[in-house]
Amino acid sequence: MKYRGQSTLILILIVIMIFLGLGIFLLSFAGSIQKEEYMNTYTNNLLLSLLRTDTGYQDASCKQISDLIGCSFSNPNWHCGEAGSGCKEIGENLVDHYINKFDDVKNKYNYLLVARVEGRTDTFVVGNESVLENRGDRLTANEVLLKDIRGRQYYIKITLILEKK
Amino acid sequence: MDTYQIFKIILGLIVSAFIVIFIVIFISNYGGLQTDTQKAKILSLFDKTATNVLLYGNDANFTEFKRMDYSAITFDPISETIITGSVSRKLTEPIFLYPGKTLYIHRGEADLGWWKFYFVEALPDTSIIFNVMDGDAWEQVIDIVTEMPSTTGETIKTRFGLCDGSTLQEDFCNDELCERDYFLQAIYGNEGMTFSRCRETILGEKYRLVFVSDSCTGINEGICIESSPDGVGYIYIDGNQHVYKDVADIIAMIVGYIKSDHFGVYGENLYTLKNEIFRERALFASQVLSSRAKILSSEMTINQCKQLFETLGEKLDEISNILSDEDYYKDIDSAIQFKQLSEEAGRTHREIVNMGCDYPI
Amino acid sequence: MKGQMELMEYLFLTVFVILIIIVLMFFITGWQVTQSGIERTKEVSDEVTFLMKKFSTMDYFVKEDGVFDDAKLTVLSSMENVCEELRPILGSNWFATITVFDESGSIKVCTESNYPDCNHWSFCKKENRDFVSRKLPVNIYRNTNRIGDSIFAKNDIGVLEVGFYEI
Repeated sequence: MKYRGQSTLILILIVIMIFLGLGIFLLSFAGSIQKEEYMNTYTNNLLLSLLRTDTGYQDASCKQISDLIGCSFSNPNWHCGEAGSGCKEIGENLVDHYINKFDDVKNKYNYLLVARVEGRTDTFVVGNESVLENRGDRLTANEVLLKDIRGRQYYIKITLILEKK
Repeated sequence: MDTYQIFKIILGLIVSAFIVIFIVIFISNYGGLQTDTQKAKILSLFDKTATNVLLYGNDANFTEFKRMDYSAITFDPISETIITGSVSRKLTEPIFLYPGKTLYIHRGEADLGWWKFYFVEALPDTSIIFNVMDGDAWEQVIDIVTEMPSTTGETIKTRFGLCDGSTLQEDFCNDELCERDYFLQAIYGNEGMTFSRCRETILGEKYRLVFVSDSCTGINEGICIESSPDGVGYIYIDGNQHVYKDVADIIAMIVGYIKSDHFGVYGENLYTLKNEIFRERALFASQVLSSRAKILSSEMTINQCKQLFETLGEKLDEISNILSDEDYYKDIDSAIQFKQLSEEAGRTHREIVNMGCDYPI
Repeated sequence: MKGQMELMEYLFLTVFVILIIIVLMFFITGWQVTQSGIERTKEVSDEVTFLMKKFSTMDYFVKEDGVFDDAKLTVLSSMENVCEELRPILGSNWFATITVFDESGSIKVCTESNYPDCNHWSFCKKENRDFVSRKLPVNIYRNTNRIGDSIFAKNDIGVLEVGFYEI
């Protein structure tokens, strides 16, 4: 009975602390959920925009970056211009060049772009391959292109992965 | 019982009464706020869902209205606001809403040739009956139905049927009214077929009756469209005359139909909403596209494209002049002129596209 | 004395119970206020993302979703009252910029007189105001890209930035 008043006071303080703690715990969730939808949209748009970008070459096999990727499966050494590199090398350089123009990606993310055709072992790869091994915070976008490769139509599956640095 | 006990009981009662009153006041404020907050959230979610359908063209179901009294939802055409009780939401997009527990939201379009006007229809289970009294009007019926929802495989249905005199044709599709695609298949080849005037009494309340005839004299029920091969004419709702110049005018009236409240006939209000928004958007679009045509004309190296872009710019300026009149859509001559100029502008643009100097709209 | 002590204890207990209930009421109200604050932040973020989606799909600006038409952008950004004209559709207090990643290395704001030799468009942009914004990779369709004497339209890549000013 001697310590009754004190123990009640302590009880009140404990209750207040529990509620405050709960509030802080709930608040901590607020920031992380919002950004996910936006960054998924960003990643999807980045991949789509890249594929639709014109290269400057008028040759149908090299006109857009998506054409260069198709070309790198059908004839990787195809010359887009009069002289110079093959379409595969031009494609790899252009993808890297344009992705690095986006400061948000360059400063905060490692990226990897991979294009594959089912049943074939050759691939089109640009970026940091260690992204595949790590299991960090990742964003992924996928697109499928239908391209003619040596007279046959193939589906080329393209994946862009952004991994937080 | 001693004095101390009595004191404890009285003090206890006073304190309990104080606590209960305090809690009741708190909860009633909080509870009331919660209901209004919920309604506002549902209206906001509807607006966002319908706007997404408008932007991307992917149809959607909306079931949130079952969490509130949807029959209390009404529409004020002057402020372009959906109202329910003390909660309202202004519509900034052409959304034709008919309130119901669950809705199917679909995007339709009116193709002007030089620009496309997109609008959204949000309908619960709906049955629309056409009474085609003009054998030349089937093309028009097909145009209307094509822009309405196709609900095959969906739980919320929009169905179509035909009425001929006292016969409701319901046996197209396994003894039920047809959904859009089956209905369109069934009526192709009906050109020239004429039905006699439908007796509205054979239809229940759940049907929306649309007469299509070369004259609407004497037809005061449902919706009556005076058929026109040019796509411009008069449309009557609940006996009131209006001018239509595209499929969106007609669909706005079909969606709203003849439901009536202190804001007037719902179909008429949606027709007004459509035209207010259409006029603003089309005027802006014609000004932008006219300036675009002129800027591109100055950059073209092919003379023919240069001239075609200049012509397109001039036609769009004429269209802007008509649209500058706020009441143009109420006058049949202005509507006809608008339609003709739109067709001419559309033809000019198609020529430019065929020459490889621009992309299709 | 003992009776008075008991009375005092009882009174203290009653006061503490009332105090706890009042603290609970304040806590619930405070939590609601915090929740509204969180909701408001999320709402602003959602609104920016929604505005961004709207901007990149509206046919006043684009050739197709995510592909802006450079001639439309030039005409619109040169209009004196474009913010007012777009208010019924996009609301107020927003801004947007589109920049092409070309090889020029510098920003050239597009006007009707320097079109198409330019790479940047700005809408309703005001200086010295706090804002919340989002960026999105986009394409820009160059209607009148010249190669020699011929015109070959092409898609460039760039970035759209859309934001709301803090009131």
